Amino acid sequence: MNKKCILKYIISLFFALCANYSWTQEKVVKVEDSLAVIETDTVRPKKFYEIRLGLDISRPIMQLAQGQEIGLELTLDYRLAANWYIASEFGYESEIGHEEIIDFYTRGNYAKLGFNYNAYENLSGMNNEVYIGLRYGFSKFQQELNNFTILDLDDYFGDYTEVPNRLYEGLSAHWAELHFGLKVETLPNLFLTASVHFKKLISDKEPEGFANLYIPGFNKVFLNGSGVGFNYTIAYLIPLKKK
Amino acid sequence: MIRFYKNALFVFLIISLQSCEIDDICVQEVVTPKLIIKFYDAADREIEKQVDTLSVWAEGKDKLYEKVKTDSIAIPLNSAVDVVNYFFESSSLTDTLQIHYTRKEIFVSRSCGFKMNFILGNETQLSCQWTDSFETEQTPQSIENEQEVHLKIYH
Repeated sequence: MNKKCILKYIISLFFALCANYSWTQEKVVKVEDSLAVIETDTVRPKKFYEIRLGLDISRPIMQLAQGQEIGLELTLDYRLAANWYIASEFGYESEIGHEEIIDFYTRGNYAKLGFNYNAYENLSGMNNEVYIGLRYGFSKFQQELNNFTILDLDDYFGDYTEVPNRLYEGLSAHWAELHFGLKVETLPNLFLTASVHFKKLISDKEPEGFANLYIPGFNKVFLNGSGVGFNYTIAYLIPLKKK
Repeated sequence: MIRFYKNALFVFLIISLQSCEIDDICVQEVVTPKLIIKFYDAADREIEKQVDTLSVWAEGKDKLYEKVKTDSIAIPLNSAVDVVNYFFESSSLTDTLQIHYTRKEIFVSRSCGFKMNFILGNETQLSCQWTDSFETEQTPQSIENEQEVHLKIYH
């Protein structure tokens, strides 16, 4: 748990520094560029389809740190209009849930589809984004209840741990997400993104006699079906020419 | 550019905040219920009757009650097995209550985990030294909360 926290901080910091670095660079470059750029530059030549394909890098890093399989997430977005993007994420995840008194294992696939709105006005020639987004998320997964402990608060007979090793298959969930994020073009066509997601469960198929404590793509399900998530992605804009 | 960095700072702040997750704590008062026993008068079965110097313990365990004067007790059932023997001692006579039950685990929440509910079995029996007989409120008697009396013992 703590390890996870620290890791997230380090990654945050890393990104903050990265962004900072690119800023200093731009400032230097701008002096010589500014005159030439003003007349010719538009947001980006409209002769290209702007499709960006990305990979979440927080999961592989955490996978290395924790030494267990976590999952993989790919992102895909397409620029629809000046500030509007169709955006999607898809991937798979597996999570071993060690709660104090419940031990379970969840794994499955998920997909999210929605849009991003870029609220940041770029200087000409720049392609950074501070965006807000909405997603619809869907996941199909399975859950294994390994063991649970029934506490004896009076400590008369003692705590009792049952090991049912029960497998619940064919579970599913639908939810909505609100995204806040930041995209920085660090190299031409290469974007680093950091975003945070607030989630609300719409409906889920629960296992009988148990609950969905973790849903792939959704993360930990808190009380009232709320959740939070984040990702750090590195994305490449594929320059596909329009006919 | 400065505005961009203000925005950026804000986003990073949010991300940093969410790095430490909320932990829900088990606050609901949902625990595995105990068996509630009430003592009644064997002569007039409607009237509650206290037991003098009552001692209660499960086989091989410490005393839960020792020489108390009461008309009702709450005793835990063992979640690990289907039968438990309880001893009731009053004025140097000891009765054995052999409680048979079936168990059903109920999921409560992430933080509270599971609790156990029980249904009393027909095989439940009481040796009658100082007690007269016993009776359940319903058949089959389920044990899901501690608000109601599950077992009546007449003496």
